[in-house]
Amino acid sequence: MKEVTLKTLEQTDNVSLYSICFDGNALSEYESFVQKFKDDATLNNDYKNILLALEKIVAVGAFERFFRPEGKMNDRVTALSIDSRKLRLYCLRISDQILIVGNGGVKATRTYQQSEELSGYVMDLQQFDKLLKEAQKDGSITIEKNVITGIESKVFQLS
Amino acid sequence: MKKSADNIKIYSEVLQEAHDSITPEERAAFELNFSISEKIYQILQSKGMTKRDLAKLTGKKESEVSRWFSFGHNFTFKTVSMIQQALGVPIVEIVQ
Repeated sequence: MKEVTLKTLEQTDNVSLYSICFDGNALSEYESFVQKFKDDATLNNDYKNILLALEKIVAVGAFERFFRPEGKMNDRVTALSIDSRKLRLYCLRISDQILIVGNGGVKATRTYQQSEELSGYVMDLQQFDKLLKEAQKDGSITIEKNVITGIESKVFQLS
Repeated sequence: MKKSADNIKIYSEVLQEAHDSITPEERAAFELNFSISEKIYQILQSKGMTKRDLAKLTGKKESEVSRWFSFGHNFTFKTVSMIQQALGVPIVEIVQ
């Protein structure tokens, strides 16, 4: 069992960007991704495009066309659509106004399922998506426009 | 918490530092490419066309057309010119 919390990273009047935090880690999964690749010269172009893409999304909206579906039919896991064959960043697109960013890494295999690291990030988001839907159903969190309320004290249990 | 020029509130020092590391040149190039991509998307929408239609019209593979709509795609003048020709609508115009 892993304890997971949701952290607000960036916000405009229209869009909010969240990420997940494991077991009381100070850094969220997206912040860990940033730390992991910020000094990698070979992936610098992809890394900067990801930063700029998320800046753009926070400014204009998390529209479906900005993402590629990556999970299964019944979840909301997507990969940010970057013109790159190397770096992948996985997200949960809740709506045009709410995006939960996960972790990512270098895509060295044809599919993410062939990579233990990448499939781990996708599975984390798939499981978290389920928990989020349950929490919304039981009323412990509410999602309205660009805000998820009730996350300050909410700890999710990821198996 | 810091507010950027775009009124984005950033609650993370790690992300603030990351945003600050982007040069004005990198930001301008990204913006230009994004604007071109959005313009093509709007033209397709207004004509009731899909990316598949654009692929047929330009004789390119759908996977290549998809890349034109990905963040960070670096358009060449040759590609933009070809898309303009195919759609019959200007995408980029020179300000005199």
